[in-house]
Amino acid sequence: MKTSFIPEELRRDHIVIALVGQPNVGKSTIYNQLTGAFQHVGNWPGKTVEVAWTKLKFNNEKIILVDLPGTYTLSGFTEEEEVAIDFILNERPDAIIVITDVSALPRNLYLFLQVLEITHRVVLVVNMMDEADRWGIRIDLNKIRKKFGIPTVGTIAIKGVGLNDMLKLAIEVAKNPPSPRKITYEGIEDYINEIAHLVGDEIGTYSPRYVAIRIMEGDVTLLESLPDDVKAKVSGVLDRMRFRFKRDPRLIIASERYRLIDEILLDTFTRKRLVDRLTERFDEIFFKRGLDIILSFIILFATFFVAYNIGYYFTEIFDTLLGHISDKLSNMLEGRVPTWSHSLIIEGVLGGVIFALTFLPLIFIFTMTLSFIENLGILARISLALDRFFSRFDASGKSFFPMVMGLACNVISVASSRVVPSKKEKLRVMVVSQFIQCPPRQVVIALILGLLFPPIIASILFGFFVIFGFALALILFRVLKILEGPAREEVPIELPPYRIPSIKILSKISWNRTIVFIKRAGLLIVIANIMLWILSNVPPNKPMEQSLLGIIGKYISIIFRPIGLGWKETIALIAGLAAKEITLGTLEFLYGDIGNMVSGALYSIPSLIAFLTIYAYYVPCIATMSAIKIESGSWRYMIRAIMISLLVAISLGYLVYGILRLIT
Amino acid sequence: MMLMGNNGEKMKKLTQVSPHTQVEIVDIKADLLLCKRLAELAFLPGEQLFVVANNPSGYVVVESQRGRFGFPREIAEKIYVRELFVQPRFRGQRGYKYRWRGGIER
Repeated sequence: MKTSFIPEELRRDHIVIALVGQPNVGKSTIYNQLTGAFQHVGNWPGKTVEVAWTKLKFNNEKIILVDLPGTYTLSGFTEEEEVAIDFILNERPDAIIVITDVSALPRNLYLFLQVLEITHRVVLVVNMMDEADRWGIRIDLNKIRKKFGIPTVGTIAIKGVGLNDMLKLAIEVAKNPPSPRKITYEGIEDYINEIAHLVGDEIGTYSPRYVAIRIMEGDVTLLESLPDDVKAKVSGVLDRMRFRFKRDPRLIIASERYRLIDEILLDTFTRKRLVDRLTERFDEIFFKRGLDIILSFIILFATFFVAYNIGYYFTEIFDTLLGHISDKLSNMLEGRVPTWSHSLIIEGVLGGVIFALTFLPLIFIFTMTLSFIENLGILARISLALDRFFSRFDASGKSFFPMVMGLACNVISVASSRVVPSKKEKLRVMVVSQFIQCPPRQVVIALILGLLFPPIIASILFGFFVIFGFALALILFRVLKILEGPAREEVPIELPPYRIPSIKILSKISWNRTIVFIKRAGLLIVIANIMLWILSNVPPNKPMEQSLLGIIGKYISIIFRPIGLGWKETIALIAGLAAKEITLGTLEFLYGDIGNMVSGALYSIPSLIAFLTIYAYYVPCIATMSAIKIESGSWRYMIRAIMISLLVAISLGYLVYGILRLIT
Repeated sequence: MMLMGNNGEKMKKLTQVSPHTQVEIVDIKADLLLCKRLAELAFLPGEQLFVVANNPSGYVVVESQRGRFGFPREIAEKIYVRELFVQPRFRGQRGYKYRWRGGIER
């Protein structure tokens, strides 16, 4: 039996209200204005899409407010749409608030009509009413309310205006569902009725009319679930529609919905401008040929630079603070507990907790920066400008964002992969962004190269390692397309008007996302850290080469022997899984001084460069692996990502070694 | 190259239209899935669009009463339109104030 997303015991005494809306209508702003700091966030079963919900009390009513993902329609085209429709049909919320943006009402009402086809428990919200002047819009909400027969309210979410009225109406709707005007699609009403009549009660859960519309929209599952004779008759009706309108029923229904929207807005909504002056002027500049790419890179790297510096500034403070706490605790426990348990608590458990927590400021700052440029309207434009280049690699322009973020931290790149619209592409971004060189890796590579070569050559090689990470990511996109089929979705990109977002709301959204991420990934990081501690400290009081890690390292080192690497490098690579910089510490520990390793007495240059190549592109740290598990919602994807990076890194190591042996 | 629609009207691919041109969608020659997606965003035959930008190597930006959208080139190639008129480019140019910008013309 399918379990309920909202716990059953809560459903009994709470009114469940769902927020639905197309992207860029201010849905998240409304949700965050109404909710406190504590939110439940969970992946929808079997999906990578998150659904947030929270409990609140309003006018002595207990409410569960659910923030469904932003979707253009309820047609099941994307994963977000599948989740939204699944929630509405199966969770059956007591009321649904459909949020629209006053400047995009002629499009936003499409989703509203689709919701209205499923349920009457709907409240229509026209948000951003303060912008009506900017667009020269005149809107008569009373007339719209009468025309639909559905409670309608205007809001300015960013200022909290109208939100109480919205909740009052939603509670009213939950208790006494309204009787809206019947939505009829004049041109095709006969066909809808005919299919509804044929379907009858065959599909018990939904109304025959809704089933008829879904079948017209191309819902094959519903059509296939009908008995053969009914299915044949329904298919006959669809064929007649195709013959009469010379178009597929899927397109006819969309056309009918827009015809109805235009009819309703005919005397309720007028506007002087299609676009506000700010957007018009900025876009004139941005979309100038050649300037788009330059501006995209400038904005992207400026954003990255600011976020990187602020993020790492706070990370350092946070790290020092946590270091002090760790030292205090370590001193407290010293002498009171056996040495091994002291080490387990401080290095294994607390080390893992601190490692997970150090990501907090970085993730928060980067999430906020990304949300800022997204809400500002810039992100969509940049991704459009870069789209052409990335389409050659079966990626969209938006894939570049997480990849660039990888230069700050691979965990950030995985966390920010949510900006990518297609699920398949998002999963690929998580895999390929592992090859982008994060700061700890950059430090280790720069240091070893600096010891091996004169500064000029070391700098060139270092640059090559970083740039090759991006090239590798793009090549892998292409390879995965050949192996698994295309991931890029052909969709137009909405270019929302430029708007200055509320920093307060953005901080709240980013903080909640960060906390949820840290909570979920943190547990995995701590567990993985403890496991690595066990590997390197069992049996106790033995040197590292005699520990489990040493034994495993010696076995694995067989793989690296042909390229001249030994067990010490293998152990250092395994230890680097905890955090990339640990590789350096391990090498120092095993060699006494890293200089001994690179002095040339032990290893040839080809072996050392091969080692650096493997180090640069092999599995990222446990935090990134945990992030992949959390964002993809699947262990399988995490393991797949690890296997791919291992395969690529080791193959490259061999290739580099072979080439260098030939030329030296 | 000028193409002819089913009803004999002259049509062009959206990628062939110059910026600042008002066009009407005549046909969309794409697979059903993309056609449905576009239809749900109101890109249907008969819908009027204003071409804001046309980057020959990249994308086409259009606006309509439903919003402003950017089409990657591969999608824009599949949308066939009829040119209605070219809007004067600069302020002060003859006919500038009469340009179509009014949303649903009523």
